Amino acid sequence: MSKPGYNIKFLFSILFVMLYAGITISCDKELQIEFPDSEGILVVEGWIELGKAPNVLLSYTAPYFTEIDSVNLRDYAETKAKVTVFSETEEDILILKPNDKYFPPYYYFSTELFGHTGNSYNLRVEYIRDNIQYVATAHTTIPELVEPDSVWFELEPGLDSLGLIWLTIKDNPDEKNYYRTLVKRQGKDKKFVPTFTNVFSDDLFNGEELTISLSKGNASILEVGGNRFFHLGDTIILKFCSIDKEYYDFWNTLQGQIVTSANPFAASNARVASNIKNGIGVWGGYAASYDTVITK
Amino acid sequence: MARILMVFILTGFLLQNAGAQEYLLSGKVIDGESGEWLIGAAIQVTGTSKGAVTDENGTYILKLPRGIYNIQISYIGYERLGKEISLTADRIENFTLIPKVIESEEVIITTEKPEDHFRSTETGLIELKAKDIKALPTLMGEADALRILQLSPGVSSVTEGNAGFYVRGGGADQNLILIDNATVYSSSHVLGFFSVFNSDAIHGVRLTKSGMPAFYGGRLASVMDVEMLDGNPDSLETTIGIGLISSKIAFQGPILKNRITFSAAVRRSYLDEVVKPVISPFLKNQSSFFKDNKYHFYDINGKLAVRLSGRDRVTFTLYNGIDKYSLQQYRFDYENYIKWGNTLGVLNYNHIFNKDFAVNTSLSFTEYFFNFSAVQSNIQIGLSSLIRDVAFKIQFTKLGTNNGYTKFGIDYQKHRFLPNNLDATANDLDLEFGSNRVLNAHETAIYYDRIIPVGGRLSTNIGLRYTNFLHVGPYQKMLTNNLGEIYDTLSYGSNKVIKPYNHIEPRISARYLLNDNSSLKASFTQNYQYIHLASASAVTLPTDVWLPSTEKIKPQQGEQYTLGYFVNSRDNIYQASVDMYYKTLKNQVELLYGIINNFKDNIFEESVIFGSGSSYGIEFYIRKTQGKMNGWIGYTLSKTTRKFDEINEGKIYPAKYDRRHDVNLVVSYVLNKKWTFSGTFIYASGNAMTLPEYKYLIDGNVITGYGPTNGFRMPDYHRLDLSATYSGKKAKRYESSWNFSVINLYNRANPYFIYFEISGDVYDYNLKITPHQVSLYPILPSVTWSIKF
Repeated sequence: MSKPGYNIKFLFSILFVMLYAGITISCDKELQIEFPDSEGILVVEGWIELGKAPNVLLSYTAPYFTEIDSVNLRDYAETKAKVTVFSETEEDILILKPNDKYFPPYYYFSTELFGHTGNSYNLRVEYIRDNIQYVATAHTTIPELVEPDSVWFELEPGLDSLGLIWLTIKDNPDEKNYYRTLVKRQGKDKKFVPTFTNVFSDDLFNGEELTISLSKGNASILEVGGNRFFHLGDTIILKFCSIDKEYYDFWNTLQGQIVTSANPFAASNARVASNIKNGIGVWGGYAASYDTVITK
Repeated sequence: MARILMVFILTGFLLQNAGAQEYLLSGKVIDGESGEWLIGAAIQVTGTSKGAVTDENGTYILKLPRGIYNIQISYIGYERLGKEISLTADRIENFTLIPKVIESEEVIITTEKPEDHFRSTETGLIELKAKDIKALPTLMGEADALRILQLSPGVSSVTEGNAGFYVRGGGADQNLILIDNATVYSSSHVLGFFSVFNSDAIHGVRLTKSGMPAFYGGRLASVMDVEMLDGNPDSLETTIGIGLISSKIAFQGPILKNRITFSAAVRRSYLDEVVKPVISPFLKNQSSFFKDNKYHFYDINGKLAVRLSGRDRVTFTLYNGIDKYSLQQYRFDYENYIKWGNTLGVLNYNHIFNKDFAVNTSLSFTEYFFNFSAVQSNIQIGLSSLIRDVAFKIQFTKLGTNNGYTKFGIDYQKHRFLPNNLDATANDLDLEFGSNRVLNAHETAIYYDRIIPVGGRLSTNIGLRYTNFLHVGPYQKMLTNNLGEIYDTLSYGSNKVIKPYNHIEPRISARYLLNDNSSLKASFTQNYQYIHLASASAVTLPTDVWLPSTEKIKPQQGEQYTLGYFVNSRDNIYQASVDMYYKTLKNQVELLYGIINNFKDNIFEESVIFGSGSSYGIEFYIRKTQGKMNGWIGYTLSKTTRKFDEINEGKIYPAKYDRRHDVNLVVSYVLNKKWTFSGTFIYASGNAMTLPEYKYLIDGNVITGYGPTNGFRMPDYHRLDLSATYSGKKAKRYESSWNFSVINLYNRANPYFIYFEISGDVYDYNLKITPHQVSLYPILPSVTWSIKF
């Protein structure tokens, strides 16, 4: 069976290094040309988890070559929007809270509305930019929860204290399933970090039982390379999510862009998908199960 | 006299009344072997529009003013003869021609005269001889046919260091490249620095960019027909060329006088052995390239030509070329090896039935492969790709009157593709990437092509090509439901037809003579192409993979319309043309996210998307063909677009080969017997690229938002190259020459590509992105020493 895991980013980096030949004998200089300016577009990062309240982070795009620092960064956060999440039966206007984990520094949060399996949730963001009012909308559904049958840690043969997380799941043959995996190392990670290759679909194992390994991912795009293994002694929480198609497309294309980033030889159409109308980003519903893995 | 006039009119030469002081030059043209006279041999007076053909008694008559003339005598199946004749009174002169067996292509070559520029029905033909190629500036000492073709209007390289070429907005895979009738799939060495054609091994190159005759097919944009050297029939000749990064040696000569000749050439680069130690001290931290990289290529050309009789000739051509590259980065515990190359062998057999009917058959084998392997820590990855053909061709040529001819025949090719064989192991665990998929196909074409001279002014070339393509088993077809899930696989046995395609390709071109030195030419061609090159990147690389047409991947389809004005002046010394074209392309393919991302399960068909394209343009061209100073200037104004539903929101966007302006200037100056100078200048609009327009942060990731596809132009491209060749005194036994070349004389940093460097820390809230431009060629001087003996 196919084992999503290693491969993709690694192969791309190899292709890049191979072309390194052409680059290094040549001359490389900083380019001084006028690049087109870009108007800020609303960026939505929102999710609603089964049994939990929705979270929505709002910011704006920055022109590509603008330097971002802690001073001007706050200009890119949207803190005055009216954010509404509603289903067929419920509706709630979200409230603003500070976010200490990562950008943007605030997020919108509900205290009354919680995700239910099979329900559809709409997002409406009303905001004013340059004195004009805009409305961005999106739609998602929380799929059925799929729990792994078992999750364990296994040392890599030949490596003393490094290993991968393994899991087995039984896929539902009657529907198209999409999955996402994240991990949090207790005491080490601030938040759940997507694994290396963090989304996959049941394209090739529909209805079957699948065993896969998960490698450690990077917390951000700037953390290039890095160790793909988990350390013996780590306590790791695996978050296994069942997601919908749009949420899958977003993370899958984002993953594609990360592995091809700064690679001039990669296809130039590696654009990241979005399910936000009048904006970009993602609004996704998911059902997650949590397993604690003690590595020993 | 009536007959003579008839002859003149028939040959299309117009008799000029040059005044009273004219003398008669007459005689017979005789077969050097049998002593029989030859009917219909062409006698031309170089530098004039005068000429004659021999009548049924083998006799010719020419009326010329007093003077010294260079007379050229040619006849199908015989070596061309040139002779200087001083005419001070009426004179009888007999010419003896030595028979040679011709390839059917030579039927056209017999009309290879400066007047053909406006007289032939061919609309977009560029022809280069080995000497033209060697006369121009070389890149690090390597004279290169492809680089010179790229200096012609309508032909371009997308970037420097790219030996792939692009004809009138077509892709690199849309050019058919033939070496002595066998297909070559990859035309470059060293990631595109050099073409695979060793200038010491080739006789000439013909590039057809429009009005493709029906005997060519299988590609949409052009045909590059390379003819290898048969070998010097008289004596053994050795040529040695010693350059800065590669050297070569070539031999040619007779094995059996008048029967068997051979030519052989070997070329090898020594970037590692010679350049590395010399250059290393000058490279600082900027380049660990020479420390960690190993690179070399070689190629071997060989040809044997056997004349079995005056009517039968067999040639055997062999080519093998390999590039090897390895990289070891100990710091990252990383190494990789890449190897790619072409191998081909072709047997051609020509038979002449009579003076105007001949047949050419060829049997060939060709292969292009690419292997890549990499090891890092405990992970190993291997990637290989291959295309292998066996082909059989038979072509009959029947000559008509007035340079008319009929050609008909059959082309058959059996293709075997291994588009992408990916395997990997991690810590001795085999990772599976689905089944290794070998694809097989048969491609057959039947054609009929005819040049009909219609009266004096109008001449037409009509052709019809019927093509049949069969994708055959063994094959595992994945059956998917409406959710796109695979629910079953269907197995096809060996040679079982999975998908057939049948198409008719009409071709027509016409020439209308406006007067003695100018004409209008127009053409329409329709072509189908059953193989596709799927590219993961913006430039043509050895990693691009060939794919056949399958049920899902439809054949590419192209149509081209051209209209041009062609004129010669001053006794054909000057040639000029204005040529317009309009082209439409259907079923163009792209890979959505690059090869590996999509090929992870080897279901490559799923990742291919389809679109259409168009290209139109106007090409201006002026050439001086003779004299101490000669050369050409070309200007092309063109626009090439593509449209895919999945790219650029389905809107039309500029193709990566789109070049609005393209100027080429090529000048060669013969100062004296010792010194020849040449120079080329190129100016072209910048390449189209997709520019990142904005960035945003989601979950700690900096995401790039792109502007319109290929909506941004890189800075313009321009470059001046100069070359000087010093030919030493011709000694009895040998002659030697030095070539000094400078590429990019004023050291223009032309963009090869632009990339973006991200620095900073998302968590510390600071982030900087800087664009970088990478250029390939700085000023590149080189020197090559050649000796011939």
